[in-house]
Amino acid sequence: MNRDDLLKDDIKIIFDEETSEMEFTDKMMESVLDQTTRSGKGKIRRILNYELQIPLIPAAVAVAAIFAVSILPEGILEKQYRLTAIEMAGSQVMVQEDKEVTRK
Amino acid sequence: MTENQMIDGLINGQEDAFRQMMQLYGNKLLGTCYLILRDREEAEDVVQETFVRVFRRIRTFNRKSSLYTWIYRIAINLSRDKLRKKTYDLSLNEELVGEADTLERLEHRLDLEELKTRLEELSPIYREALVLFYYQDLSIAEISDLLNEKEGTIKSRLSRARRILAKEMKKGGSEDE
Repeated sequence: MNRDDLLKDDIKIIFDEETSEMEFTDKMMESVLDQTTRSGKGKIRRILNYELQIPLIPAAVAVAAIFAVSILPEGILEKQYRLTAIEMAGSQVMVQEDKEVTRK
Repeated sequence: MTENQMIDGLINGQEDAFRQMMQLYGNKLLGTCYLILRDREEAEDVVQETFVRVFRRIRTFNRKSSLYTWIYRIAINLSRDKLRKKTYDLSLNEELVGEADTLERLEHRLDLEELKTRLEELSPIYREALVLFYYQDLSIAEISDLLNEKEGTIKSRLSRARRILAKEMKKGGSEDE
């Protein structure tokens, strides 16, 4: 064993000896958990992350549907047939208040 | 739980993931910080603060390095801050660098207690490199990544640290004679 190895081994021995009694205790762990996952921020983060886990495609479809419903004019999908009967020289003419006017 | 699963758990704020991370790295991290800071209480504070920062910043972890390296980087930076506050001299002391042949004169003189004293007296910047290399068993490349320094710088620090120790040991030995 050369001198370099000897020095290396001795440094390792010293470091291991000095830290042999060092332990990250349960008390320390609990203290960290109180400041992190159990804190108010931690709880909020869990809730936010839960919402982010919603699948993107269904969520996008739902948002698009809500958006479409909210911007479309009311009643656009309903067909309005306002027919008026007009008497003209003994015959009746049906008038429809719509762009598509058909004669009956 | 794989590392990726653990990271996902940490991002989601899962307590189990945090427990596992602390069980995995807690002791070794505490030992490392203690060896750098030479103060048990401060080392405990730094390790706890490190884990709190991991919780706060886990979303910024880009997974380019290992989680282990990332956590150690936080701990080392916190340790350095503590050392600065204690007004330790972190600058490289070139005067302490000895001649290249001093290692050769160390034969049969390596005394653990003496070496321990010399290690305690060593400048924090060198001790940090020695701790990461010999205690953490990190490679030069890993230390370089962790400390954000060139590999050559780390090699040079380790070499200088060994030379300083060798020189100091030689001095100590001469005084005894």
